[in-house]
Amino acid sequence: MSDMPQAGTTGSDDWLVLTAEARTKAAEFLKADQQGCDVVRIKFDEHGKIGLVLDRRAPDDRIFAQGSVTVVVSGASADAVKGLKVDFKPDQGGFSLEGTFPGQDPKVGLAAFEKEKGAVAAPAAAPAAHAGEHDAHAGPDHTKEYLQVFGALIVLTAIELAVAYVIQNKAVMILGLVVLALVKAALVGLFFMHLKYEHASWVPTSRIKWKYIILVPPVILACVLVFLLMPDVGNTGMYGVLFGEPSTVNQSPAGGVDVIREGEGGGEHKGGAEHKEEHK
Amino acid sequence: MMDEHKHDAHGDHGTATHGHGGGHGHGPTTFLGKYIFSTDHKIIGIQFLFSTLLWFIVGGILALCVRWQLAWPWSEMPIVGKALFGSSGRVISPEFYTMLFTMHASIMIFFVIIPILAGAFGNFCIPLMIGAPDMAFPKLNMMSYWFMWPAFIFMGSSFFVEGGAAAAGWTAYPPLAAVHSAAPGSLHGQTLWLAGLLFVGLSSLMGSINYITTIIKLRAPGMKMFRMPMTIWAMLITALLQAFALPVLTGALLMQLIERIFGANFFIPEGLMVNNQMAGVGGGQPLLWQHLFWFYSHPAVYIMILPAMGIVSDVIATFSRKPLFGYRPMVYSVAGIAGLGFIVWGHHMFQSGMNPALGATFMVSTMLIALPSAVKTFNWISTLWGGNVRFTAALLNAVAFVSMFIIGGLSGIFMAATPVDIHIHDTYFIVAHIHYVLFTGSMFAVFAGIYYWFPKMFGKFMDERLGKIHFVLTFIFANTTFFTMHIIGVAGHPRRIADPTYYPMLMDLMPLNRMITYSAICLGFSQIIFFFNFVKSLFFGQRAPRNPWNSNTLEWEAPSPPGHGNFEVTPTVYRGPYEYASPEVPEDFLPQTRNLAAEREKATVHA
Amino acid sequence: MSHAAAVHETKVEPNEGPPITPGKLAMWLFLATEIMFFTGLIGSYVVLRIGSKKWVTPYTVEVRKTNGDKVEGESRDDSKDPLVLTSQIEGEPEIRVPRAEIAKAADGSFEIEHRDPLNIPLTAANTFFLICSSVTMVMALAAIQRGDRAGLHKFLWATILIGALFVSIQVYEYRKLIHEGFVPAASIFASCFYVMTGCHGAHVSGGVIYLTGIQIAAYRGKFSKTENTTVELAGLYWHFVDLVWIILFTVVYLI
Repeated sequence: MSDMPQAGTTGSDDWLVLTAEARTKAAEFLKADQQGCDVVRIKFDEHGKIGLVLDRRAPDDRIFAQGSVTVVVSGASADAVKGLKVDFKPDQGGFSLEGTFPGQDPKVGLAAFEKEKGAVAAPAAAPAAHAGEHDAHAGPDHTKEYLQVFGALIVLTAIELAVAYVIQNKAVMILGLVVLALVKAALVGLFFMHLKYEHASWVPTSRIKWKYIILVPPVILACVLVFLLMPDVGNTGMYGVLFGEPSTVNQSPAGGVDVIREGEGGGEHKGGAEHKEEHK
Repeated sequence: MMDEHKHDAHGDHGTATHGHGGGHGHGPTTFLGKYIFSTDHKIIGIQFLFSTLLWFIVGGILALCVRWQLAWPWSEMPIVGKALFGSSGRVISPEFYTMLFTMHASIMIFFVIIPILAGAFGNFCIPLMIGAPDMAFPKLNMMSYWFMWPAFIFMGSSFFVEGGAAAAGWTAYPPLAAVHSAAPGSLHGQTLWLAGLLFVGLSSLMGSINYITTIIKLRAPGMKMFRMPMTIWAMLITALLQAFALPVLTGALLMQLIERIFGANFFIPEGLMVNNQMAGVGGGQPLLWQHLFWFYSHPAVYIMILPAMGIVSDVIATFSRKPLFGYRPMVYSVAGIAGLGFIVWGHHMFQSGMNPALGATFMVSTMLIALPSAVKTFNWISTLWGGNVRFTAALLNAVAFVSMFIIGGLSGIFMAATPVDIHIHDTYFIVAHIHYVLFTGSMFAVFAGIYYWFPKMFGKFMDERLGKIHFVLTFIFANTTFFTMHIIGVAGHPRRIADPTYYPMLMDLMPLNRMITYSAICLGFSQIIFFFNFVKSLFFGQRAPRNPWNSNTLEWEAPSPPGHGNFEVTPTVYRGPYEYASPEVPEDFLPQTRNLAAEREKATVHA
Repeated sequence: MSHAAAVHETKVEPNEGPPITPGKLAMWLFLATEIMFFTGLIGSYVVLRIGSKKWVTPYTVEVRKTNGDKVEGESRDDSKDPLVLTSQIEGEPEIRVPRAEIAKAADGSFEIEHRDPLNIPLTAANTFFLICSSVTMVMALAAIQRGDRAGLHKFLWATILIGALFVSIQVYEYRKLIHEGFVPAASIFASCFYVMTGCHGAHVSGGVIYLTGIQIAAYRGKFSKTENTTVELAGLYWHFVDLVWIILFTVVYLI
């Protein structure tokens, strides 16, 4: 479609060169980006320092198609990057810009983009410059907390076993076990799955955290499903045992030894204790 | 006219040299990589479209066989009879009849409507309409298509196994479906049916996670949530429905599969005798299956209608040359329908012996769905009202969707009322209802979507005159077919019976039954026009420009058909999708990407 | 400076959406679908169990006379205690009695040995192992986030091996149960037991394969202090599987 003015490479292929390493690295940064950035921008800040930042494409950008990663520069600055070579050297602290451009020292440029938000060229040795959005990554070491949670989980499991074997009252036992299981599940979710450390909102202006938006609906639906199945599928048997209504005497299935008790659902392995108490 | 606008809107690119922009030009070059194992969302969408249209033909032929049997029971079937029943005197058997309607429904629902709406249109439209180069996970997207193939193979091959394909109804209620000796179709066909559905489920699950992530993370700059077209909103909410409802069905399918293979007892009641044999030790509850099945399959009804509603909203706004009436209420009503859709599944089970207290609960929640549905209907009508309506084939189909959806929706309210449902449950009234919603509803929207996006998909127009002929014939025959079903349903004609002449009370209905069959045959033959038009336009269609309908949404900013990576320049969005007849510009449309501020600034500078 | 050209800033505000990578969003959505999947299975088990008039528990006992002879088809009718043990099919020595009955029956002329096909001590140990693997997984992620590649390898190996151990123990348990006649067809409990633990076991096996793939990628030099999303996502999945097991252990084995 020739009627559509297309952005394209400016000039010849060697106008801007990305080495293979730089391209791969930049693509990785773009992939890991969380702000919806789609290009790597070569940018001049107000002091004239040059740097690489992740950005969204703007209408007047000059585009340098570089395989897996798209590099752009603002239209007005296109001439300035002519002959520039972008390389990635892990031993020299990340990306480097080589080339002759007026009044610029490549090393000066490096310092500039490290300070940019979402900078591409975070040197491998320094912490990633995430603006507090990814606490799990750049946050403090949680090893001690992990071990504490591990200890708590082991202790809770031991308590569960004790509850299952010791407590004879069926209702109390079930309640205790369910509470213990939920506490354990919550510990795993909060600490190991980092839910405790994720504070980011769905939108910056809102206080609603993204983790709730994803997790609350299925949890509600899960409760709705079980709750609405209860009066229908779960309307006999232990329903009576738990809530004190006498249920009918069991029919023994063909070919099975059965325990027949009156006054309870029968067969429930802890039901007997309750029954015993009632008789006293 | 279009070209002029384009030039203006993107005038600031004027100095850029031409060449490869954005992600263009990096697509695979071999045929296998480009069309078969493609990770390009557009190709995957088209793969879904072609596969589902082929299954549409299979499902349609099964439906015509059903109709033949009902009109002229046990008579020799033309054309297909010789091939299918050559050995049994070319006459259908009662078991084969149950298999026919089971597989007709299963194919139409799981292989046609759901994958064509979510798979074909979802894949094709989502990245294009939000301004993304592709889906968030292209490989996962490819997998979601290729997971359909085991399902196609399982279901297709089930016709040829001993006992034939599944014959327990598309709802697969146990114990009929779960016990091997209960019916011929429950021998092997049912196992293949369950395995097939498991794969369809996995495919949908992968698709839905991909859709949600793409819509949330990959929108073009400026594409706020409330600047998304209704199609995208519908796809997002549909994907959420699938993500949260489908896993329950997957669990239930696994349970029935284990029940059939290893003799488990989830759904077999205690002491059940089938053919003088114990069906198992029992202890399970058949109602549990119905609950789990409908927990997915009721939301699935909305999975089959919400994307259709989205498509229709876009088509109606475009061809009415008016902003969509009540954009935000439309979004909220889609969300409302979806939210309520999770708590109404029991209305399929009013006559199942379910707890009456639950029945009343489900009746109330079902009635509530009428509210957001009515909001949508009134908004479509208000969008058309006073518009500069262009009666293209796409718009005609979309308007047909609206009017037919009203009929289907109203008959739904009848059945939502538990006392009325006692009479009309399991009659042809419910058959009429589902076909009004799914055929004259969703399929009309599918036709509208195909006519609307065909230029974008293939760079060619579909033949408008053939499209209108196809529409008129389909509209007439669909109504004569399905409306009559209401009448015989209220008169007491049960569904799923192979021989109405067996019941003296139904003899009076036979003329109507035959009329339905005549109409259905005409309806089936009308679709030949569509397929002819589709194939003809694919090869010989008139070439389509970038924005043939003067539409606002982003997909029309990309070339027709878009290349690998979709857009030359990542579009920037400045406004909502329905700015038609805006007073700000002389044209009657104002694309989402047009930067009026920059244009004015430029105009001032030049002046 | 002449090249301090004004950088073009679009007037476009950022879009709504969580500040997490698409991969992480997709993983959480996947886990949300998994919540619904396991709800379907566990919820069915819960309502079936509550709705059953008779619940054949897996706790089987062997009834022996005090002199050590095995009793088959013996019944005991105590006027104070309406416990009745009726005969089973010919040739099957096991008699099903609820666990709580053991003590009461034992004070009579019978010695009842508790034989529990669901080996709770073994499964408790298995639970312990899975919790350990969750800790090693979170340590693996912490290691690579410090830039400690050796630590990543070490803890990933630990996680993979413990995960494999868990699956092995489950396979051993299945073999033993099936040998004892506790097959899915045996009772409604057996059906539920196999579908729930089986689906969970499949998830653990998938996780072991997933982590092995990550280990291979790690040996090929993938992942660093800043790029470890894949490890994090695998960790999320692994912890979720652990979380499901915590629930399953309680509702299947203990209650």
